[in-house]
Amino acid sequence: MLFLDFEDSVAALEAELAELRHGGGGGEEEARLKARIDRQLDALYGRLTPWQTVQVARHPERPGAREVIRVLGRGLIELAGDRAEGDDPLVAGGIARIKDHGVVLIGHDRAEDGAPRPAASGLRKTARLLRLAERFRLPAVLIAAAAPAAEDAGPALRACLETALDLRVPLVSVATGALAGPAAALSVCADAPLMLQHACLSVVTPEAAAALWPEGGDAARTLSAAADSLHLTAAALLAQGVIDAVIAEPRGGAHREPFAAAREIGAALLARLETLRHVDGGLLRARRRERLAAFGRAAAAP
Amino acid sequence: MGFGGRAPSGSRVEPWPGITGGNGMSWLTNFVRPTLRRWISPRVLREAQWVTCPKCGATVFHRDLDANWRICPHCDHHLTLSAARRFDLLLDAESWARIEIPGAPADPLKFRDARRYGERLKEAAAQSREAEAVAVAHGRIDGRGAVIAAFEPHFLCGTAGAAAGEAVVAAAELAVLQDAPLLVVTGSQGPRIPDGAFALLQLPRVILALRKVAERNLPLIVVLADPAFDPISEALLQQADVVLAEPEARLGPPPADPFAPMDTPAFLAPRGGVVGAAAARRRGRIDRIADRRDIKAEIAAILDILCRPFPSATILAYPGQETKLIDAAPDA
Repeated sequence: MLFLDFEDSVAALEAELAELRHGGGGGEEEARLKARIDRQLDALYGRLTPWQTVQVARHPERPGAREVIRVLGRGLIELAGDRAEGDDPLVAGGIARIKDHGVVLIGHDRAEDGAPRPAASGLRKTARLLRLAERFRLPAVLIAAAAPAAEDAGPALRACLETALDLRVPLVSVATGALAGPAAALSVCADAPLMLQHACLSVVTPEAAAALWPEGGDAARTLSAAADSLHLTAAALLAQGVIDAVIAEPRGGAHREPFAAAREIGAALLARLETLRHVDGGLLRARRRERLAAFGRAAAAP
Repeated sequence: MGFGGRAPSGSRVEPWPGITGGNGMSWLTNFVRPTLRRWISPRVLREAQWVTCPKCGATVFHRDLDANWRICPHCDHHLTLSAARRFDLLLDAESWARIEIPGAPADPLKFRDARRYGERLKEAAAQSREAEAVAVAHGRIDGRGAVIAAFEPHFLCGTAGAAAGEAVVAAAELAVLQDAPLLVVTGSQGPRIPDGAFALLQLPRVILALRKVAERNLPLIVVLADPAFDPISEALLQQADVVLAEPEARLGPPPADPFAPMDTPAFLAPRGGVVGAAAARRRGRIDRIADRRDIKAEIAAILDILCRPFPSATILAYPGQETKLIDAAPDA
């Protein structure tokens, strides 16, 4: 387990617990320690600052989109390729069953090292899978652990967004990681955009936004201020009406119990799909467009 | 009536045809030779074959190879599989029937290279026991109706001419008629040169036919089997909803001599522009690579999802929400 820098107290307790177990372990002592760790985690994760949330969302052990998809989809049949020039390994996709209903599952993963990669192929692959969903009247589910880098992929991103907006089948998205950049808009285009509790979504990364602050300041504080000002947490976005609902994470974040987190996501998805699948396709599309049209309109009343 | 020399009197039946009339020579030519032929050839001769795997060089008795769906038992190399065996592999036993392909113009150009094209056609038909390079059947895959067009790689190397195009078009039309998914199995070395412009024009015909399948939202699944060197296979790969490939199946431009023998090591030698299944997957051309023996199960699983859509709308308003529409889906 990699501990984040604000988790020092938890790390110390965990070390103590490991030592105790190594030495044979005392039942009562162990339980007491575990309870202390739980209390500590609750306290920490109950009042994460936005910048801490970004760090949690970028935690390397946080479940990736591919893992989530594999937990969600029974008998997942992965489909590869954008039918043009490549297969982006950071975009996972396929068809599967959730509770007896066929769905198209799409996952956007972050690169291991976090560095941006050319994403045009991945966005084309996404659009292709969305078209498959439309053709065979299957709801589409997007699990976004990251937003594909869109710097080099303007046309592909535009085509992908257009496909998503044209869908006459339900599109449900779950942002599970740190999403930033133009391609993050894809998650918001869904009929039901959901977010994990400690995920974040913003127009640019806090690092990029920090450029607006005067130079020479304390870097850590600038980042923290930038993250604060971006209002990128799930709670903030829910308040802005950008997303539909927030999915609670297991104690201490999804990276502590990836499987439980994936099951939570599955339950939330299922509830949305059960509602949306009865709605007429044309109405779905109209409402999706209407919801987006309201953003940025002067008279937009909450 | 029993078999024997003593026919009832008055009968005109000759129990040993050829024995009674003429001289000894005619007995030999009329009776002994046909009987021997019947015993030995062509079935027995064909069966006494040993096949050399083009990849690992192992010699396999052809019946063992056939029982293993022509996958080399030593190196798992997938040798070319005939269309008839392909139907056996993919379709439920006793559920399927071939369909008659309307006749295409045979040898429209009276083409002749080292040999007459007409001769080649007759020989190919005798060797492959297929009428042309694409065979079509309809039947069931795990209980679900489907139409399959399979290239016959042993009919003039599966080269695609007028008849092949006609067969793919017929399969597409049948799929639309039956409201069934369409499967196509590739296996062609290139266009059928002796068919001239008739071969050339099959590509647009196939594209039009596939569009009708797409308009009806019927799944098109393409099984990429080695080789896929003709433009029709190329179009199929582009149009398909899902492409499954056999390991090491190749696609690319046709070789200089599209009638060059298959299943020889030279056939597997790398050639410019040709990519294998693994590379094609990296390049985004195909979805999955699957062993020939697993392909039926994969297709069944895919069709199970694609052909069972969620029920169409039962609620025409958003539950619990009053929505003011600004775009009432003009083209819905």
